[in-house]
Amino acid sequence: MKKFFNPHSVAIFGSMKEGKTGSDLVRNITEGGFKGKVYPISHTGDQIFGLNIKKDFKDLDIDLAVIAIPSQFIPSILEKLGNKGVRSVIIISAGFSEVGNIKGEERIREIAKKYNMRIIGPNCAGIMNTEYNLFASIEVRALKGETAFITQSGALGGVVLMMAEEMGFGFSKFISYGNRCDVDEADLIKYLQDDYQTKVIAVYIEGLKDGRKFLAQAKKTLPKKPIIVIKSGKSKAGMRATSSHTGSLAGEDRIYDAAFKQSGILRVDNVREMFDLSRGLIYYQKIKGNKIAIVTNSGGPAVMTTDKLEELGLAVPEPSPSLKDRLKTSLPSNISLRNPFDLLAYGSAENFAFVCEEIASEYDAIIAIFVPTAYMDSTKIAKALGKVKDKIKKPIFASFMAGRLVKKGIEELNSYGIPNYGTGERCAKVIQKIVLYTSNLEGTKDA
Amino acid sequence: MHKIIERAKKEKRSLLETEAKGLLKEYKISVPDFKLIKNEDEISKIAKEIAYPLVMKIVSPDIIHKSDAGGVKIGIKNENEAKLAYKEIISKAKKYNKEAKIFGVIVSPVVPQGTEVIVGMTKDPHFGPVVMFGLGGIFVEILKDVSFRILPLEEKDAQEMIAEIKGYKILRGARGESPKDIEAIKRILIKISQLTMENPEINEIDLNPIFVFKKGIQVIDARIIL
Repeated sequence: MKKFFNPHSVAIFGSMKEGKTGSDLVRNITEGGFKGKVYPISHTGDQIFGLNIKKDFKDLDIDLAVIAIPSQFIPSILEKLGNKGVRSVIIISAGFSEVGNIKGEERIREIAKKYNMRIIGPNCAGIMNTEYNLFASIEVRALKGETAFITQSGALGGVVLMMAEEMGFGFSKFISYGNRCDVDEADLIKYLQDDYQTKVIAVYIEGLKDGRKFLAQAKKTLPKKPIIVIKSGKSKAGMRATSSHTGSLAGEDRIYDAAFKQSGILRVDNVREMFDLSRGLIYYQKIKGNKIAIVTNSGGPAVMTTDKLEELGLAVPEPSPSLKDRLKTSLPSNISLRNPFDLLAYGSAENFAFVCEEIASEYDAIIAIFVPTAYMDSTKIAKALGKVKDKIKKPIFASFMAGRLVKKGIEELNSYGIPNYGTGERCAKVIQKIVLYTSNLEGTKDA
Repeated sequence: MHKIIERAKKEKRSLLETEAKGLLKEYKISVPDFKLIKNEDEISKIAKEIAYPLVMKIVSPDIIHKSDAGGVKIGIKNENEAKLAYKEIISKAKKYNKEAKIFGVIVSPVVPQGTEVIVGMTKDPHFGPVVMFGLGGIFVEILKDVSFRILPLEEKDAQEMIAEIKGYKILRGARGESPKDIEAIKRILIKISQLTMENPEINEIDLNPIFVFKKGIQVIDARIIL
């Protein structure tokens, strides 16, 4: 697997005409700053992006081959690559099992087996290793980050990358695995488990070929890093023939849901939730209990957040009498000292920091909600929270709302490693999943 | 391979209710006493083994919906009623399905009504054997309030899947009802996991209904499909 992500040389097979896949691949690889050798290969010869296009690859030393030629020509290229000792191949080309060409796919799987070659794809969008400046993909180049994203759908992969770019969200690795004729989700998770650049593994799947293999691998990986899954196709009915009551109730999605729960995989419903949770997990992989505090300068958003937390089975308990007394002595008398701790519209940075620091010992995580009035400076609050975060050693989440009023504040929060979410409810959802991940891990320790 | 399964396989059929319950008993899953009656004459001897009132049900691998076939009689109070019931069940079954192979009638004591739950097993094409739990009756039929787990099952999984259904509060004792024996449900889930893993020939199991009491449970009806 290492040669997929850290090759010294990459050969690209495909049409090198402008706008064609081969040309796009060469462009992404060269513009992305890949330090190794790049070999565009096409019968046309000529030059592309300052590189000579080779007609023949007999004498080239190739670590990774990326193939984007029509499907019918792929087997013979694979045989040649196999003979040369190339062991890592990405097949971008479509035209296999997804259009009913099962035999064609079977054929390339057999060739791979014969030469001990690993194949990612076919019908995929390629892979990226941002740390190594490797962008062997037709999608927009990812920013550097700590989340690895594995996707069955290449198109969804492209969407996620584009959305991430807008958010300034980066990836450690990106892998679109398409039809998974050889390398599958479990293989990729296994590789990412020991990839030091990856803190969080996020997966988009439509269906697994071998559910048990996936679960077995996930169970091994989860104690090291969290796995987030989007599983689509919820409405698809079970395909099994059944005469039992149980069988008729066992819809495909129910089984997937059970499998994820049982193994401790964190399931989210959509791409936004995936981003939200990834951002949360990058900063905080442990929340040790379900007692959550809300510190706010606003009524409405805090109430909505409280509702969501409670709906999700988390607690928003009042502080102990002694804590209340401590707070009372230093805060204006009109401040609400229950939870949510409402510092009122003009709640100051000092008060935000003071309350967070004082209450930290009684809560497992804090949500700071800040809603400025028209002329308030959100960066002051952000800085105060950033400084207190290091002191209290409890996760702080923020919901600064909204728009241009908090833009600078949010940047400030980012620099301190405090994840900010558009609403407190989104904070609540992230916290619930991290609490779940933490308690699952505790559970496995006991067992 | 288990003898009961081997015989059924040879005859190209699934387990009879009596065989299924026999297998459950071996796994220490409680079922009401039962006896397979193959002719009218055996009825006079029943009282020695099983207390009246009785439930009588047709035993045929070809009749799955026993009530629809007129193959179930409940609350039989004495020998005379039992003989009549036997004749009626057999003749109705024959009318319902002329080709049906009839093994006899299963006789059991009437069990006091408990809270109905369902436990089942089926094989998923991607994940293999899975177990299901839910409250019986409308909860499963209409609300589909059930939970699943992949086998083999750990104790923690059993606990979680019971607590996961919306009807869990009913089992904990709602509206003045006493709490039900949740530990016994846990045990049956784990036993079904064990039974499935040890007998890979079994493809599907329906234990429906199971009565759960304040203490203990009884599997009232059982289907095991090969």
